[in-house]
Amino acid sequence: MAIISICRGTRSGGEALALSLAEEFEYPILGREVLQEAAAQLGVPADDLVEKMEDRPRFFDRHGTLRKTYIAAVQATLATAAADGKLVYHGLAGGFLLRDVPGVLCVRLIAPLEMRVQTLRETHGMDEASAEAYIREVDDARTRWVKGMYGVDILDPTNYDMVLNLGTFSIPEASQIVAVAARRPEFTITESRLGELEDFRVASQARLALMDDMGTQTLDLTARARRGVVEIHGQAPILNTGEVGNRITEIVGAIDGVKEVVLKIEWFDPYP
Amino acid sequence: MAIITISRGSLSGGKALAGCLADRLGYPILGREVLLEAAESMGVSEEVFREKFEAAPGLWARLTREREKYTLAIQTSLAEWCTRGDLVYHGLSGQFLLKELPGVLKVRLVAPLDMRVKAFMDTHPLVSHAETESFIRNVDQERSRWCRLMYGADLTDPSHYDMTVNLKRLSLESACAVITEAVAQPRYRITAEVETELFAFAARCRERLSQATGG
Repeated sequence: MAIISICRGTRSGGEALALSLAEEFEYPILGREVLQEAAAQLGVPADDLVEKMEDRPRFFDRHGTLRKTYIAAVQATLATAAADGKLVYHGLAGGFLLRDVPGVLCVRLIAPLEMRVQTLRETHGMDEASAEAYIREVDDARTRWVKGMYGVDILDPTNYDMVLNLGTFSIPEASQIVAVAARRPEFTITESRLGELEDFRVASQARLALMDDMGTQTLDLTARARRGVVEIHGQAPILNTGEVGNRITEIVGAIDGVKEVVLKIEWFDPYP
Repeated sequence: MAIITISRGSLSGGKALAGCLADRLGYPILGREVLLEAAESMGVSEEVFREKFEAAPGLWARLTREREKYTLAIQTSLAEWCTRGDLVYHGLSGQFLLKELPGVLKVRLVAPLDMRVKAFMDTHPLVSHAETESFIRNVDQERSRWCRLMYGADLTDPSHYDMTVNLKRLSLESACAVITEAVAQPRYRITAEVETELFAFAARCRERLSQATGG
């Protein structure tokens, strides 16, 4: 068992590689559908989720809370899909959304600009200049988004376990190379890692539930899970302490797999 | 039979990886010894050669292209090694020196700074963590500058390589297994056609060196 996350620039062959690996391992594959599933979970239109989520963070961020909710929804959807330790993911920011999960193989694909332009021309009938402009625009937007969200450079190879150049390798070749890496002990999903994946799913669902509730979404809370025990950390105003605390326990306690909710919240006085 | 070049920052495990690959594949391994061979071919000491070749070129050297003959000497030595048909090279600039050759697997190896600091401190226990970190950063900067001036390229840009492998989580053995799989692809096989090209490349290198040194 393994989880493979593929990060790539637009039109760099990520989906084709993901399909090839999914076939090789007989694993489910997840790409941009994760956005539709996340939107369905929140009951919002998928287009709205994509637009707000992909908009880069700004200093005065009027969509800040909404975007955090959407990202929490995508992460929770992804964590649920990854919970049984078999997944090939090629959607948005995979390496970053899954970066706290042990044993996820993060691969980045790169391809020469000419090759990507050619792909776009063939699939969308665009002229060369428009295709190149489109690719540069999408690349720039993604680079800014990842920088804004995670503070890292999406192009920096040290953020991945491996970078493969499709200017050299064909998709079947790249697939064989990634498959060898995925079978190495570092990326094998053991029983203990399955437990950590379940913890990640529960914590991701808890964060989403807290972000999706009007009473708790403005609080700066994080969730950590271990074997069904969920700790909620963060800060909250001391007003209505019992009420807010009970609400948090109720929301998180309703999540499948949660046995106990432990509040480790620093309560502060908003009017000292 | 195949040719592999490994580019890496200092103390990133490049030599160990090259050793692992050479053992696994039964290929000869070549690192900085190529400098010694090149120095001999130029009739200068290794120290003089290193000084001329490894220091970032100053304005005078860039204007006079004096360094070119030292680069050609290394390229020629390396090209001679390549005519054997199998090689793991972990010395300087393999990806650029062998750019003209088809079927060379170009690998870039990266490792987290902490791991590199530890590798240095394991063998130099009297040097502090801060000094080691500063040393590694300086060497990295110097190499990047050297590469930019010599080849006009960013050494760390993954587009110069077929693959980049990160030792942060991949063990040396796993990196070795992954690269072995890559080099097993038919595109890296030394066919009769490629072999002809290897010899032609070596001949071109000798010719350029001869012209540059007026020999």
